[in-house]
Amino acid sequence: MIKERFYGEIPENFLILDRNEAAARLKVARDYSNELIESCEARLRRSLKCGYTGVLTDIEYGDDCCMDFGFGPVNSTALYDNLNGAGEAYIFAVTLGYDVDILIEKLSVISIAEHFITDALASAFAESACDYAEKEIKGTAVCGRRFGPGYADLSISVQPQILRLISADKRLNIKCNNSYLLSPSKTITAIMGKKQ
Amino acid sequence: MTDLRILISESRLYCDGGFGSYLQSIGLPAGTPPEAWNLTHPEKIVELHRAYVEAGSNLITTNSFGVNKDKYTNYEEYIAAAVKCAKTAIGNNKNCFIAFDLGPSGRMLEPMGDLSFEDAVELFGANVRAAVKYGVDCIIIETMNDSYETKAAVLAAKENSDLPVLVTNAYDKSGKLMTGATPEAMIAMLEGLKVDAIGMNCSFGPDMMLSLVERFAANSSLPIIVNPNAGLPKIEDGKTVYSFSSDDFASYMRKIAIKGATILGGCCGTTPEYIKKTIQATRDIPFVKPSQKNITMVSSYTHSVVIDDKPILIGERINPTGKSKFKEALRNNDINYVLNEGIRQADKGVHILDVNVGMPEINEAEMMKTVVAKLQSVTDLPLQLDSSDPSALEKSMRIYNGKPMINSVNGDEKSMQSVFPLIRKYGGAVIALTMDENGIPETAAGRVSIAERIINKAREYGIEKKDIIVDPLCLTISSNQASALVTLEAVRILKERGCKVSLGVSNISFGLPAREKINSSFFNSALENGLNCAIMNPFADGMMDVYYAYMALHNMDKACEKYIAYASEQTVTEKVQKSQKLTLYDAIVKGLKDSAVPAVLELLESEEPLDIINKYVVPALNDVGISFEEKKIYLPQLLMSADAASAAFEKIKVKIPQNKSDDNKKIILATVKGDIHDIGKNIVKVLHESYGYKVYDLGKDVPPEKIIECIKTTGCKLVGLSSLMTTTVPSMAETIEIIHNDFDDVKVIVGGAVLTRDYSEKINADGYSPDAMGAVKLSNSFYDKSF
Repeated sequence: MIKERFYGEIPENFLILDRNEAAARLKVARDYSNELIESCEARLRRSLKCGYTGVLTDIEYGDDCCMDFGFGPVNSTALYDNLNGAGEAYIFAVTLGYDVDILIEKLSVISIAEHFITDALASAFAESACDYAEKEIKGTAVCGRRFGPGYADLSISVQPQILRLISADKRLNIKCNNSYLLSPSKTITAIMGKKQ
Repeated sequence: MTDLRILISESRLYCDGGFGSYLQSIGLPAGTPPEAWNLTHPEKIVELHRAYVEAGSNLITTNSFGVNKDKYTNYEEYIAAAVKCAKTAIGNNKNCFIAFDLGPSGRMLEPMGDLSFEDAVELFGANVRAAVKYGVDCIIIETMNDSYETKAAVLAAKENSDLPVLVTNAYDKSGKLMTGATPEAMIAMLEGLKVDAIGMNCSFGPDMMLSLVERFAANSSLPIIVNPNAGLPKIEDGKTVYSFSSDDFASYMRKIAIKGATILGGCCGTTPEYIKKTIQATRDIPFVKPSQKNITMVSSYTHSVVIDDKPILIGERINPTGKSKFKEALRNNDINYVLNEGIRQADKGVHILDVNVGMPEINEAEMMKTVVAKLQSVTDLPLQLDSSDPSALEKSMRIYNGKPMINSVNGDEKSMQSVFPLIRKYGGAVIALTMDENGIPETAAGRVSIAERIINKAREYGIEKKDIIVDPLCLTISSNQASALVTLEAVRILKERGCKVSLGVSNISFGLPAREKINSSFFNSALENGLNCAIMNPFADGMMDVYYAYMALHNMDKACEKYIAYASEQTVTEKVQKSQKLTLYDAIVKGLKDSAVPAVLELLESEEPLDIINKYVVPALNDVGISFEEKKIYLPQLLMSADAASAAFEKIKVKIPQNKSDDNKKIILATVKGDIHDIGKNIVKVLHESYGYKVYDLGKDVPPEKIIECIKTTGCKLVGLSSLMTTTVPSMAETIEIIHNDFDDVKVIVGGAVLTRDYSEKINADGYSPDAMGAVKLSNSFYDKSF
């Protein structure tokens, strides 16, 4: 059963880019300094339209690492271990919005360097947005680590059910295609067990 | 029976409200879709409808929001049951009508998603056909938060029924749809598609909709629908509750009605009580019919462009006429070249892009459709679809996301008969050329007379004068020196008669030297005579100088802000070019594209093109490659160098005689079927191009058959495949097997994040590289026979 619903926007200036995360995705040294990367970041920030939507829901456990979050049974040993018997879970999605996809598509035509840099920075920003949403959603609650569909043995085929549960389509226009890839492309879904 | 179209336009009507909250209160389990009860608990659905009928709703929406044939194979059964429930509830009540509810598909349309536009039209069309079969009074398309999906639904409704079509979109707090459209953009598109009423629903409460209603009332001539939520939802004691009480809701709905909304109802969280109180709060407000607006507007998927006092620049560079490189790009299906022309013009500040891809050797209609779709994925400017081929116009107008400008129609009866039906169906503003089967009149009066004939004929098709933009035609002064004066006189007369006017300004100087001098002076004269739109070259500095100066001088540029920004940018660019003067080698090594171009242009004045490649470009790239391998520089710097080399190579290529180009080095690149990631493949492409390779880039999600076809048509013996996802590596294995089965002499090299050398050997790839530089080395070894 859904206990709480969460929905919010994330102002661009609230997002702090984790330079380590960015460096890893850009495949550069952590102390990188590059004029083009800086200008790509500034332009990307202007395209960000971040939002999150999520729920706090009960977890019911069955046999063989089977769990139910309110949208039918899910089997995953890794997620089962991660939840560690938690009775409730936060399930949420975070997106950077469609303007980022349009910007990246445009850059694929005009500059491979800016395309690569912007795509990498956007992925890093998506993680920052996820960190921000996590804090907003859980408040002072103590939670386990975020766990996402596609990680370990949690199939990405649960994406449609997750999106439906958290009203991601209605709130943020997040859609799932036939290969379970999400639009906007810089979108993350996560499950996070709430400790008692 | 009462004509619902007349009722909609001449009286206030009331929709019903939310379904979910009400149904849950009478037992619908959380997580069960409301439409399930059409089949299992029809009596409950009838009870819900009946409650709204008793509250005073006139438009009873079928319980079919979530039904489509993608979700339910027995969708028709659901729709039949939904319609039956509504009919049962209404009975013989003559004040009630059944509105078939068409909700979003739940999928994203291409290019952002994987649902094609035509598949979306068919998906909605199947619903509409079923609704018509079981008998409904109108169609309400609701909660759409994407303009393209909205257009698909409207076309489906129009092509499968002759019922009134009502459309409400879900706007967010910024007043836009999730994919970026403003209310004005939606008004332009939906009025063009000739729907019967437009507005908004869902998202938030009535308080947030007040300002949106003002914008609708100011810009739309159609009845306005407002169906808000009862505020925002929250969970209390395990139940979803909303922030607005029925009294607060009704009080805001009164304000909304006063601002001009004529069809009122509710969405999530509202119940029959909310509707009843809304009716009580608004029934004494006199009905005011929406006024006809005389706004000439075109739109993209994000915004509208109003053609009024401020001059509008229409970029003319997407056109093969007189451009050998552009023609070559079209022949080679090099869409990126065309897209680049669009992006560069957009960056120069044009408001609309003209798109003309007509040339004899290609299928213009297919190319037009492709280019328009791709352009809309990289620029949000409205497009002017420019073709004399009605099928090219039809195909591109159909898939265009917004209300396009059409170029053009003329006074010849055949032209009007082929173009006007398209505008009537898809919407659009059209450039009307003042010529007919007898040619171009020599006098201004003659041209004005043709314009009036076109406007009158358009009216017969239901196309208003505001959507006709007259082009009185520029004829070069090199053959008739009085022609500029005739054109300017025609502009003046047309403006006096309330027409909007456009000109292809550059034609005035055809056949003369230093054309920009004549063009810019004529452009200024035309603006002074009231010209609204200029189809022009934004890379001609003289033209842009005139535009910004005109705006500043005519009090159309507040505090001269745009002029100052423009003038400052010119100065900065000149200074940067002077300060960054580098050799071509240094420009490439440092990854400075803007410095590489002037450097290569200077070299081309004194050295042979192939010598420049061998002496500067290749050594620079090799040195950059070594630095990358030694981890002295990183991937972004390598790519910046590749960008700089590519920019230089583009300039060199033009100067290489056809018989001297190195046609032997070529490669086919593709991301395999099922995989939509292409950054890695694109990096490999650019590096190969930098090294002078001819690259046949087949894109992403490429089926093996397409690669086989490309090998056959190009004779290319080297294929590079990319795959990023573990789920698509089997597709790579299958592709390699098919290639090797069909061709003994074709080699396949592979790469991608999830691949390893071991795995590449298992799937019988002929070569593997973990990075783009390695891929170039593999290709080089293929061509120097050391592979």
